Amino acid sequence: MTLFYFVDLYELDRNAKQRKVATFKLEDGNSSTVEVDGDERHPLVENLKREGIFDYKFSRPGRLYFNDGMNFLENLKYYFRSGYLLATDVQKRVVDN
Amino acid sequence: MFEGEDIEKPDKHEILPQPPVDLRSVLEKGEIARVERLQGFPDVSLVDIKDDGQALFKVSTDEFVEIRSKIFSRADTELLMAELDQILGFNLVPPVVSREIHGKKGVLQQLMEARPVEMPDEYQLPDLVGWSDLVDIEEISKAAVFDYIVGAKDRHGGNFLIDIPRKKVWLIDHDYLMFFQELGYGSDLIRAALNKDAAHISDQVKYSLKNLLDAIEGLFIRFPSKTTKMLLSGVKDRTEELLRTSQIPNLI
Repeated sequence: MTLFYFVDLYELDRNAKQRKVATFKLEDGNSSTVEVDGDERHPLVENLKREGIFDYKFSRPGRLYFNDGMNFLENLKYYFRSGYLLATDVQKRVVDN
Repeated sequence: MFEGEDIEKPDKHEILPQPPVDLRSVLEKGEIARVERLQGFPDVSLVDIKDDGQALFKVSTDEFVEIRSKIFSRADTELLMAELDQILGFNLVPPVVSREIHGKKGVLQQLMEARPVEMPDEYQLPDLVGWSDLVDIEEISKAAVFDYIVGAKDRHGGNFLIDIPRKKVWLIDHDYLMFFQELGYGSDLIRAALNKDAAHISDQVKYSLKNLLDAIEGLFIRFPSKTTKMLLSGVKDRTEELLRTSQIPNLI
């Protein structure tokens, strides 16, 4: 069994319907880099990879990137908070191998 | 009507002029037809106002409590920013009001026909063209002035909207994270204005800034919380600075 931590990102589309854009996931114990389920070439995902996000939780200098693992995941919900874009809190899922 | 009478009939497809809608009044008093809690960590709901469109409702007092001071109220800062925008005459902040829905106090803001910069799903950016090439330079310039004087610390691509057909910018999310972080992201609008050599303060904007200074003592009385007083002190200082220097400083 493998434990995954993940965050879902939703957008509110032109018809005011929520749609999942991507899932950001981290495998417990095996990797420290966040991976993307969804369109990896979506401008939003590419922008996140390139620009990173601010560390809202601990206000540490610098940016957080995919290879910051859990710190990156935990800060997505602060970065995407407008309603037009919304991220979930970090959730857990166990997958049978 | 008599035969031969010469009266112009309106074309049946003609759209007759409509009375202007007071959007704030609609948001404050409109009948709530439906409330849908959106998926995501922040407590945000999509609200249908009967016969009057849609809005986003965000709770005022119990969001992001794990990383902010307890006394913070989102309604204070959202309403203050809308008021500053109105005094400046910039038209950058979507209409927003304080309202209670289903027992929760919060802010209700008009849902705009615009998209976050990071979701360019309805337009294709040609190579070497960024979002800042698709909106009026005056919009970027005004938004940069606004962000500078209010001390915006988190104006990234998810916290402003662009309306490509109208070449317009909308500024959203004036919450705790926008103003009260020790460190901050800063403002993409200020960066864009500096990059496009649009950080000079025009005479028209100077006029708006003078209007704001004339009104600011009244704002200290109307927005008396510790949070808003702190923000207004910064607004006053930075507005005076811009009037003195005529230029948004490059702090990047």
